[in-house]
Amino acid sequence: MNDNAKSLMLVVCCTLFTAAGQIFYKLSSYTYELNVFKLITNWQLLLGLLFYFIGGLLLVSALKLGDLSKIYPFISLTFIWVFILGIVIFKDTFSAVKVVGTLSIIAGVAFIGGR
Amino acid sequence: MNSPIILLAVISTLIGAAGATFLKKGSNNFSIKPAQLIKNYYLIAGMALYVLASLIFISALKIGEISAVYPLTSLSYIWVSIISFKFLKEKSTPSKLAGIGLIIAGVVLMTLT
Repeated sequence: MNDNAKSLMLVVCCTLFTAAGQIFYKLSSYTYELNVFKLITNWQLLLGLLFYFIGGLLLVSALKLGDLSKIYPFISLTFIWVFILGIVIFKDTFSAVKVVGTLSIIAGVAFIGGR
Repeated sequence: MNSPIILLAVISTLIGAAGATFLKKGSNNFSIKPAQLIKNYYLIAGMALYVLASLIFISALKIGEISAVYPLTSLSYIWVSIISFKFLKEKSTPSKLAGIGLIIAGVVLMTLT
């Protein structure tokens, strides 16, 4: 497997971990209080931070192997995962406005990352 | 979408963009040796800012739906682009400007949900 393919695989894994991190953030928000003791014992928050951190490490590894401009569009996969998980896990509302908005953002991120 | 969510998202993404800038600086002379790592203040500041940005973002997640609120994190791409245009002398190509426009359009649509 060449470096570019490995790089893309790492980015995809990054997006999965980032999305999982966000799900844990949302779960942590139910018992969220701006109190240092409450925050450091909020296990959903700690897991969320951990998953986000791992996602970051995966992204750095991906950038070592591949071009930023080739990787950038795939970072948007996170938006798709969170959209689906939001509906499946949290019963979020599904609307055309949300779909179009998300797609516009995904396209925007791809353009920003390109040359 | 109510205004506290939008305000929290804007503040969170601004702090996150600052964090990204510090992390980038911290990655320049990166060394994994613990003695060097501890002295890498940019890296530490970057990570601290990211944690702060996350904590503020969770306040927004508490109020709204994740599939509507999470896309607002794309604002950080706009802030980072502005930082690179103004301070890092990067070129503002039509493609990048179009990207910023599309993100803004998408974010506006999300705020209408």
